[in-house]
Amino acid sequence: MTRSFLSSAGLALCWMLSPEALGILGNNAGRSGIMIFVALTIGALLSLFTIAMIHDPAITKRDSSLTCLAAVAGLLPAMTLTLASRLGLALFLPTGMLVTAGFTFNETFVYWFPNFAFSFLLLAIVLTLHLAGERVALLAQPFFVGLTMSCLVLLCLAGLIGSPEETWSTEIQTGNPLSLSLHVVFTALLLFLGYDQPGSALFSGSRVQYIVPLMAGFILLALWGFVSLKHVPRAKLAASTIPYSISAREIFGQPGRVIIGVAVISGTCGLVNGLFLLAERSLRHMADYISPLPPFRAAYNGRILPVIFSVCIGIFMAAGLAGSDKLKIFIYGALLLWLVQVGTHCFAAASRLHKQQKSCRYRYLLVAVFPLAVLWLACRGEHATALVVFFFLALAVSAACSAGWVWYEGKRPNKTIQDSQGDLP
Amino acid sequence: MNKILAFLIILLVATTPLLAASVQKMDKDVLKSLLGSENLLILDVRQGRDWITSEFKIKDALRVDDGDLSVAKTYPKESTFVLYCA
Repeated sequence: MTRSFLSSAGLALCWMLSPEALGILGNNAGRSGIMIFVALTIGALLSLFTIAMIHDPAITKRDSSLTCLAAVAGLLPAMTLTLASRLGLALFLPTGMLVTAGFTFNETFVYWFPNFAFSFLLLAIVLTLHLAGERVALLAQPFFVGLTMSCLVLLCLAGLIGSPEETWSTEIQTGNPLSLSLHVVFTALLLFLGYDQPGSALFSGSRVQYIVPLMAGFILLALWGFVSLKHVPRAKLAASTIPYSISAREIFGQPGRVIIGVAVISGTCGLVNGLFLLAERSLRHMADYISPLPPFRAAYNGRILPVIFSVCIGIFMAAGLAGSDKLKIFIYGALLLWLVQVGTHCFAAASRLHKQQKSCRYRYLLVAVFPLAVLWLACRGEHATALVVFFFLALAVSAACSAGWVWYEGKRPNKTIQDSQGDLP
Repeated sequence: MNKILAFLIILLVATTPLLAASVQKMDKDVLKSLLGSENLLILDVRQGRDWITSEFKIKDALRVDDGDLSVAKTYPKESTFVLYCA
């Protein structure tokens, strides 16, 4: 039971504690200063309400994310959104994170070891775990995330005890305060994603497996933001592309560099493993729902998906996608699509609960926050047009795949697809 | 057919270092000794994540976008141009 809880927590925390999330946190802490704590608190509270809604026992006992979405929006839009968000995350975020881990290993630990070779080595390790079976990958997840957490806790403690050379009250030019505050709050909402993953069957109907990791992540991110602001001037944090490394170095010197290096590598493994599991489970659930397979075929598919993901990521890395500025857009686009998916799931859950006479106005207010956040984050970014193009392309490709899948299955007698013409259960 | 293929592979392997040899390599100690000297231009040609996630960024190096080396034209021909790519 403990192992199952730790696996669930490890999955929920995989993005929150990843190097990319720490980088976003560091930049925003630098830009907004003390406001980051208010934003993190609001982000955590909104995430908490979202967990309460999408994991409401009245919904989870009969619906999954896909069926809940399909019942409200229809089968094809539900499949399209799920495919676009899960595949974007499983392909682009790992590509960027593995390259980051490769550079970290090369620059922190072994100078002569090629960074790309290390990135491929990590990818091979994660793939091996998945080939060994979902159980093995789930067992490894708490280890990766636990190691990252331990490193961050150690650095936070050192940062709290140590006295910095510079104070954290340095002011920087940040522009319109209201615009900045909204940006930081919406970014905080993005940082806490991960609670929408399918939970452990052992805790079916319980929201504890999502709330505890969210609270742990909130405390750790807030502490990390605090020690970063305490030890590093705001302007430096805001401008850096690797604020976590700078904070670690300022807090603990060379040992700090080594500790954050371990955190980056284990965090990357946790993220890649976690996102593979998230995508794999979502796609398998979709397959089970639309075209139920015999158990041996399902097990085979569970292993083939990580192979496909790994081959695609390997091609992206070998083709130099990491060296292109486009990867930044793809990663940000994939994260925003994740937010869209959670927002739509939230709307579907609110609608389902409303139908079950569990009416509560705050639910629809919460649902409104997600499109606002996505619009704000997409339009205020430096690559707004490119992001919109990415959204449309991702959704168009997913819609085409979903339509092809439904058309193929529609040729065979299939109760799910016939039912989807009307209202799903 | 196999012999031709083998010959082409050997030719490619043999000529690649020769082509690369036209650009001199500089180790970090030599570069350190040159830092601060006049007519030294360091161009950081790393792109995307290669640059973003690297901890090592040389002070005063100019970052070049998309391989655009036109900035080098503004320096005298006698200058030492250092391209930092990894």
